[in-house]
Amino acid sequence: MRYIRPSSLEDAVGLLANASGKAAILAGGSDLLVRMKGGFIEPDVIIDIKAIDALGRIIENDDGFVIGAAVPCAVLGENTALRNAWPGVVEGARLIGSKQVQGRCTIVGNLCNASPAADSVPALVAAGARALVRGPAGSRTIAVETIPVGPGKTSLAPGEIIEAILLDKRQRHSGDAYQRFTPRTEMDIAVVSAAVNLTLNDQGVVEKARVALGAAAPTVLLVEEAADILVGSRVDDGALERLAEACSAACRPIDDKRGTVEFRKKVAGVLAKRVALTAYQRAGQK
Amino acid sequence: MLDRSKIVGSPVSRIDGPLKVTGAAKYAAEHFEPGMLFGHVALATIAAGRILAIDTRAAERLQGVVKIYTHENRPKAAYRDSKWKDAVALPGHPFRPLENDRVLFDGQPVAFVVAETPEAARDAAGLIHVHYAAETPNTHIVAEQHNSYEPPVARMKQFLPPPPRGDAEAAFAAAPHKVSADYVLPGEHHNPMELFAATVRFEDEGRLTIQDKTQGSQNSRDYVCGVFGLDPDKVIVKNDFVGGAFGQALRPKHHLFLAVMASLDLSRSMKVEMTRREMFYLSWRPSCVQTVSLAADDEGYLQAVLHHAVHTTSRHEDYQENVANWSGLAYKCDNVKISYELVKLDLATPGDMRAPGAASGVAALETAMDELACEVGIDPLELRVRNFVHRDQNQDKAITSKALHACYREGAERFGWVARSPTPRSMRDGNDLVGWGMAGGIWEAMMSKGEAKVRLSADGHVTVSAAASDIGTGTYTILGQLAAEVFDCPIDAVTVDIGRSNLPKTGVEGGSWTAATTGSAVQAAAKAVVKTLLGHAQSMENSPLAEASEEQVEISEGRLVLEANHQVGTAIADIMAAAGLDAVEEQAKVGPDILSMRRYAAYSHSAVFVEVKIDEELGVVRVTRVVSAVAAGRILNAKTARSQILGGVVMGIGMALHEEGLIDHRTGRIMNHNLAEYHVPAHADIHDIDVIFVEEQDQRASPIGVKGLGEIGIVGVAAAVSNAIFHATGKRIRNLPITIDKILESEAVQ
Ligand SMILES: Cc1cc2nc3c(=O)[nH]c(=O)nc-3n(C[C@H](O)[C@H](O)[C@H](O)COP(=O)(O)OP(=O)(O)OC[C@H]3O[C@@H](n4cnc5c(N)ncnc54)[C@H](O)[C@@H]3O)c2cc1C
Repeated sequence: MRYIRPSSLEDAVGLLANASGKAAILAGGSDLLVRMKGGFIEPDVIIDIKAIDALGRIIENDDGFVIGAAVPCAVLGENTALRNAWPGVVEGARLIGSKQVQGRCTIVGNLCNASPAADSVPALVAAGARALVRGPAGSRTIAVETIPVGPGKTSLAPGEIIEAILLDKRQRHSGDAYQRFTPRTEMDIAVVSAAVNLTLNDQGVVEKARVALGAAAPTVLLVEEAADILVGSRVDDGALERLAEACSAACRPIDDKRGTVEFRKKVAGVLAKRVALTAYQRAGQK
Repeated sequence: MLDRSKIVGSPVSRIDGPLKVTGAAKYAAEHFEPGMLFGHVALATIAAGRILAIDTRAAERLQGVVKIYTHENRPKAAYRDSKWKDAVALPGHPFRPLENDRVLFDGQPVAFVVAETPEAARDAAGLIHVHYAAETPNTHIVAEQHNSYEPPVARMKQFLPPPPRGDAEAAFAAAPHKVSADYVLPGEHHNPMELFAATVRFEDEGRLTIQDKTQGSQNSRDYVCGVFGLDPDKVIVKNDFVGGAFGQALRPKHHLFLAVMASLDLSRSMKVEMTRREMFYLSWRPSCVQTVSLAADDEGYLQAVLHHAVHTTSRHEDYQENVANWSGLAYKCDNVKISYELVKLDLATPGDMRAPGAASGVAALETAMDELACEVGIDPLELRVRNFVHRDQNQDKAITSKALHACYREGAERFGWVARSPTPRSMRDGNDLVGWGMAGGIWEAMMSKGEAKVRLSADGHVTVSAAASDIGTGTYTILGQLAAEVFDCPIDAVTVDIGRSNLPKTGVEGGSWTAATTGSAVQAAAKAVVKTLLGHAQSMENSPLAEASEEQVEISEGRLVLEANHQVGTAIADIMAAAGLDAVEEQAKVGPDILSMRRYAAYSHSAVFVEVKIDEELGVVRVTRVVSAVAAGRILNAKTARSQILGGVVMGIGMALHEEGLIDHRTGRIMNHNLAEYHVPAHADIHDIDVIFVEEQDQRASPIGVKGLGEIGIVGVAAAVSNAIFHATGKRIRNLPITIDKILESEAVQ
């Protein structure tokens, strides 16, 4: 096994393209190393992207935020502008593992590990985040929800690297929120999770909404029926009840030690209500 | 100036703390020897059956592999069971690693690889292919309960149920208020931070120095010598630092046997460190099924107590612990019947885990008491107060001390218990249901035989030595404090030398008896030093202490003086100079007072108050507040004592809400053998924990007045949490852990 630490993205893409045998990108390593230790994967080449300066920055520009692929989740939480603009996204990232894990792990790693329970993904999907992908054939920008295609599987082509996550500039009267349900308060895997992102008009009526559920299906679900219920409402009790029903109905979860199908469906509804209310309050304050 | 009266009792920080936080404290696996080899164990993947063949060819071809041991080529070890029995052994046949082709439990060692590097050893272990003839395992205690039996040979007399008193069945039938229910506890796993490990240094002339993770260096030494026929003078076992153990390291484990075996066979130094997974196939708190029936009159006075307990043991040993006897002595009752049985399952032998027996039995008893309080319609605390007893009715003995009323009073006050509304589901905080529950705790205050040596140098430096172990409890510190008290010196002037088998004789660290035992021995040896000093002082010409008796003198600021008049005395340095000595050293031996034990029984007690908040929509329970009020005699160190109770409470919360060894009963295999799946509370699960030590004087429990603190902290906690959950939700859940599904699925009582 070879371990390489390139200092530019071009080198990383080149190395990946020319690698003989199985190559793996290493960001924080908090999934990759665990999977290697468990014997699930045995890469021949490991390309560590943490020494690439350009990937270690969060940039705020006229279009919004560009979050480099190697930025640890702890750094997201320390970025005041990002926290104010996208509190739900930051909330998700800051729920991953513990302080120690957050010091290493990245949202891109969370996304590419493609776990249905990944904590930062529902909020990214609800936020309409996009990924800037660099590969042998050049660059492209795609919606984050198109990247995971099943547990542990992504749509990235061989040789492709995610360079950054792009978040839009925040509009007035908009807000997002994320919550997960775990039996233990930390260091646990989400049984179900929910993220909501809302934009209101000047009258406080929801104009645009995106609702995403985690751990409710093989990939994070973008529940359009649920978003439609919120649009045109003031997130009143009636809308919340219908939102909960739509979210429960949209779930296609599994039965396991952490929760039954029935329980997961119920929790999806409960969390969606709570998260929608928080997002609504946040949106109203801006 | 040092206030002598404050050395013992004050919150002195651990004297080994700086070594631990700087990484200078080395644990068993952190020692290296030049040219050492590393071992790794291959584990059985069936729970019952026979090994037909082991294919080690691929593993042997791996670079760096030195030798692979299986039952077919294992070097000879002792033949008789008696040689394999350590100080904490059980009735039955001790487990012998790689003995034959039989597989008795999932995760049993079936092969042992020795290699030049730990990586090669681990890799090779993964390449070993074992062919089995598997049999159908039985691992389900509830399903196998009908095969229970009374242990034919008692591990300890006091674990046997007391003879029945009165007529419990008749009294139960006749009483106006009664409750009777089954309580099911899963197996639990200790999971100390430090993994089992042994580093063996192979020395000239067949000498071995072994760093072992153990709660008793002399127990490990004696085991190794017994099993391999070695001369005890040539084997030293060290355990300077132990990263937690909770009882799991009382008995020597296979890592020690295999490390020494390979070291002797290959004449090389060896290291073996277990994996986290391997830790799940060793001693564990046995799964346990209990039936508790309580009856009371209209005022809540207990009329009958019946407690039947059955727990798991292995095929080859009869593990026993005192589960049910507590029910016969915690409260006053004249009609008591207790029974206790075992069930053999295809699992590893269970072992002592923090408050073994009491943690399980008192959980059932104290939940039943809460149920009885509801049934009678009185406050659960009041029910306990009414049934207070100042006598051990099981043994018909007096009690050395029992400041339990103070625990009830001070605990309730700190918690604010009076504000509790008695009706379930009647307290709320926003969307959360709030529940307040309480329970009592009890543990035996034990003292064993032990020795210690104390040396006082002319320059005032003190050295305390004993083969005791500090398993994270603070033993180093309290022994230092006890010596500093006698010599009126700062704790920095005391060196505590423990954790080595060639020091004065000490039993294993367990049962909460180390402070009482080794602490008393240290104090006795220190006092013997003072007596010797007095003798030397009195040999000096014109000694001002010529007429003084041993009781009349003490040490103050470097001088031996009259207690009544510190002006009269002689400097220690002068006494030693006159006697031509540079130090005075004495050894003392202590043990329980047999005469007193005939008349008295000694216990520590506690009252635990718990608040839970429950998100009703989701069923999530948070333990937001705990007050644990403890009566455990004299407190030697307010800080380390508090830490013991905090740790016990956290473990009790784990027992109530999270901990559970999950077995796939079709294969008999443990499914959650890692810390990601076997849940203990995480930091964020733990909120306010308040510890109170109530005043309790007891000169009978031990010469220094302590009763021990290692176990009492966990006892009763699970019941208090469960009772609080009932109070919050109206749902009585009698099988632990109380997970969300159980809360959501069960019906609230009306
Ligand atoms: C103790 C512990 C607790 C955890 N708790 C949680 C939790 O609560 N919630 C949660 O969601 N997760 C949790 N995780 C999982 C993990 O920490 C997260 O998924 C994390 O975000 C992964 O990020 P990383 O940078 O460490 O990824 P890595 O392990 O470095 O990579 C993960 C995967 O993504 C690929 N990858 C990384 N970067 C790129 C890139 N730029 N382009 C293309 N592919 C890439 C890697 O090749 C690999 O397949 C936990 C892990 C541990 C060890």
